[in-house]
Amino acid sequence: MGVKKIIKTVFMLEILKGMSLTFRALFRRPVTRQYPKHKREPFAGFRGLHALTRRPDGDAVCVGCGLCAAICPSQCIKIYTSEGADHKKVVDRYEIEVLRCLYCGLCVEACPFKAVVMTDIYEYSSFTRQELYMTKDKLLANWDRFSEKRKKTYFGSFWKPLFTDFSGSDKQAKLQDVSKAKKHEDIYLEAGK
Amino acid sequence: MKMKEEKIINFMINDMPVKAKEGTSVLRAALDNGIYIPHFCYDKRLEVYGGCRLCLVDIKGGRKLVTSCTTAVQEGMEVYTETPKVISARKTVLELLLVHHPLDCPVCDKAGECQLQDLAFKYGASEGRFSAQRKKDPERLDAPVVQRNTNRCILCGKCVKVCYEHQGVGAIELIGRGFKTKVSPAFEETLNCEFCGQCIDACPVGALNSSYYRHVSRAWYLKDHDMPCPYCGCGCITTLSMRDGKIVRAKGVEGKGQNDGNLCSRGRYGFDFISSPQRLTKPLMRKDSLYSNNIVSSEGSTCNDNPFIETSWDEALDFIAKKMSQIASEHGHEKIGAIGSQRCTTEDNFMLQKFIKESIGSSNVDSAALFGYEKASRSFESVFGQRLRHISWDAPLSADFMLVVESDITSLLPVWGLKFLESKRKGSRLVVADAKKTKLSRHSSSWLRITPGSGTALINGMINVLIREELYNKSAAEDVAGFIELRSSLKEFTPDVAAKASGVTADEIVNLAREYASAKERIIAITACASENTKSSSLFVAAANMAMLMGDGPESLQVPAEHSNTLSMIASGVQAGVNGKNAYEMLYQSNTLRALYIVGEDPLVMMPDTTAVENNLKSLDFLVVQDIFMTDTAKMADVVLPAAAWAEKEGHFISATGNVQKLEKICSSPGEAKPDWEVFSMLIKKMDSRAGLMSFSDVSMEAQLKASSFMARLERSKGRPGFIPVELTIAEEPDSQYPFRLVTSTILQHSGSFSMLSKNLDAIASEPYIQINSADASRLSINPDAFIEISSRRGSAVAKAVVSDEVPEGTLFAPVHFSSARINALTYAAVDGRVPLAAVKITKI
Repeated sequence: MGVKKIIKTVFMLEILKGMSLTFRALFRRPVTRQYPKHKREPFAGFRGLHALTRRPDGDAVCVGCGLCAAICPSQCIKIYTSEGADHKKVVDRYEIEVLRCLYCGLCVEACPFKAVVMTDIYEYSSFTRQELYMTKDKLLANWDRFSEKRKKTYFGSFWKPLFTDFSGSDKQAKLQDVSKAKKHEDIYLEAGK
Repeated sequence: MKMKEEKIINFMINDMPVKAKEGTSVLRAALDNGIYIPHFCYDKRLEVYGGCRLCLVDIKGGRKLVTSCTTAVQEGMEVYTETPKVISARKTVLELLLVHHPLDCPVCDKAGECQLQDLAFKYGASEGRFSAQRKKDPERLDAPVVQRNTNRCILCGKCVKVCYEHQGVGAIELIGRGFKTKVSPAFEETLNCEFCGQCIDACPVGALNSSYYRHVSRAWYLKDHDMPCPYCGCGCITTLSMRDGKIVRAKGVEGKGQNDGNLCSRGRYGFDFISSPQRLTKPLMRKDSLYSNNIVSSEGSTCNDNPFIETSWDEALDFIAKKMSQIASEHGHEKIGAIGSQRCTTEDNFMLQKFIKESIGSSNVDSAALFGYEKASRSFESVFGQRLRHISWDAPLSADFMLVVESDITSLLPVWGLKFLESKRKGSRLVVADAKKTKLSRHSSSWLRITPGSGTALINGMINVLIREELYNKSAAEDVAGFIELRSSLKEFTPDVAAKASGVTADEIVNLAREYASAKERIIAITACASENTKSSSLFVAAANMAMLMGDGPESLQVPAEHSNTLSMIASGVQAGVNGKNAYEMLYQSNTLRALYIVGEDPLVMMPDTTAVENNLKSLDFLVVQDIFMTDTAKMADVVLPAAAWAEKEGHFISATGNVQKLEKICSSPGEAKPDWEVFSMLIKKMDSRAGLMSFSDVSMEAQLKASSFMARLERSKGRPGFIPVELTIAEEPDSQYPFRLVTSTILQHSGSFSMLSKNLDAIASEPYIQINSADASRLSINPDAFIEISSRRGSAVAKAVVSDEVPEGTLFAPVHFSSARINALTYAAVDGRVPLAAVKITKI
């Protein structure tokens, strides 16, 4: 046992060293957020509760093409369409079983009309499954809730698609080829212009 | 026609050795060997067209790319289907197609199974170098069932060719030139065809669609099930697409079933009868019987204030069991009878006859087949000494001479009928002897417009010629019993006499007989359908006589079974036995029965002379009807039981070609409707508590065993053949009071009375009508679409007049399906050799 070791042991230097960090932390601002008193604003691109965007006339943008449902890996999107009065396609029901969703965001990527989106809403726990079974009306209400809070546009500012250049087969729905696609920054720069 | 020895060619596709018959196209050989070459305009049913330029392939040593659909395979050929050169050519072709094609995939119902979409995705031609104006034609939604969106059309022309070449209709055409070319009926009128929907299945893009499927679902939500079609005896496989336990569409898929992707309007559109709101959901009993069965007794009342009341299965079955045993003990077992159904499964019919024969002890079980297939089968048996066998699907193709006598095969068995057209196209002779102008007669090599019902006279005249000119097979025919009698009976029946009876010229009969005798492989095809009234057993006997006279085997007479399960119904024991009464005795002779159990049959619409049937049913003490909807017959019943329909129960069908096909349960039945076999198994239990409640697998095994042993016996049975001379007798000749002949039959779009439940079929043919010749119409000054009343000595019916030259002068034609105009009230029920034609008169309204 060397002298150094003896001194360290007698004066409890290591403990003091540790305690110094503790004392220092006492005078610092705490990092813990007091949720639910303090809520953090989610970053752009956060994948929260789903919503259906609205057309200027108030109805959902969705035309019922079903691509979101086709790509959904957990198959939690159900769309029922029918022929409307003027032989147009009418979306009768658009349902997302939120409890089965794994928040991959592929539905948003797949949507050709930017109709289904993921908002920054993350507080939606419930005691019943039924409440978390999102119907068309609920999803539209989610959009209202989101757009009320965020005055900015959704695409480009909140949602950041991986790429938007779909020309050519090598770029179609092949995420591994992102390197060839435009960079995110470029897209935002363009969006800002 | 013997197929000549075919040479096998060895060649390579993508460095893989491939064998194909000489004359096969490269595309066909590749597809058969699992190598996909993209194509739009190629279809194996059609003549090659080579129009889409998509099936281009590279052949080693060749200067240019060639279209594989038009290139025949050659020995040692080396074909490459995906070289960079080929891919760039295909990409250009797709780019050019996409110049006009609207990108409305999100609302196009074809998306997800669209060939253009798939190929554009595969070859990446989504951004074109060319720009052009897109078409903005309005969608044509005016026709029933078939919708056209010409903007999406890529002008492959497959629909036009399928309609004209394969289906023999030619309702649509490519009209206009250049950029304005589009698929449309002539003069852009509303599509009015037979609505088979073959064009829809042929369309590679979303230009042609079924209206019932419009915006209903996306392809990736659907789950496909292959099921035999519930309508005619063809036993086609329809691919039913299901979503959430509901059938949303039916389609034919190439390579599935013997129909190989072909379907008729019934098969493609008739599936929705099962989701009709008119389906029965709960057992129904009369109010009185319900009360008397319990404690409350009620005063005597008429039928009207004795309405049906919904009840439970237990109560209804208890009541039936009680009533049946009561009648059996009071009047004897033989006073109870049952009518089976040609549409129910083997298991259902097996359990019905088991219930009647074993639990009740009666052998009175029969069906409407007595007026159709059984009639033919018995006539056939009396001549050939063996029962009628199932038809052969490809019999028309192997024959070089086809004689069709008074049979509208393309309406009754539409997909089998296509084989006749195909055979004719390939060079065989098709002779149609029919009073009515049918699709077959339009496509025939020669059409003999005989007087309705005179087929027997025509054939007897032919036999006379065959014997007189010694064209028959002497060695085979002269040893057969009855030859002398046949010869002597027809000695006086010269072509002149026959011509007089059948309304054609003597020369035509002589030529027909000579042609018939000189053919190498000949068939006679006659349908046997309960609602046709131009045929009697004598026609089948005469046809069998003629076939045997030529030394032809029983297979030269092709008589198809009428409905989806006629054959197996007979095989599973639903046919009048030796001691049992047949359907004619049960339904037309008074005081034969006290109680009757009718399963899946509507005698008040579908059987001849409904007034007689109605009176007979009224005189019954007890009538049970088990059906899927409230038929006219069911309205007279004491107890009505709801049955599960096709696709709602498991079971087996035997098609007219003898194929045993399995039915799956893919939908749930409405309300408390139960499969028929289950009802009988419960009833058997009620009658005798010791009888075990059998599970489906037990029932199915036993029923299959019985049916298959019957079918095997058919194959083996060999009685003594003998000619039977017959002559033409018509039940009711027109006279001054009733001057018209009424011909009845089923039409292409309907089958029985249950197809009325189908909304799609109803959209195509919703109204009863009476066809009348234009000469008659102008003589009686009947306007088209005017309502007329026709009446015979037995009854009358009112329907719209359709002025058409499809029927000859002095003849009316009316379909029997519609209960709103009960045509069968006028018809004649005859089970002897007489032709049950009815004489009618017309009263204008």
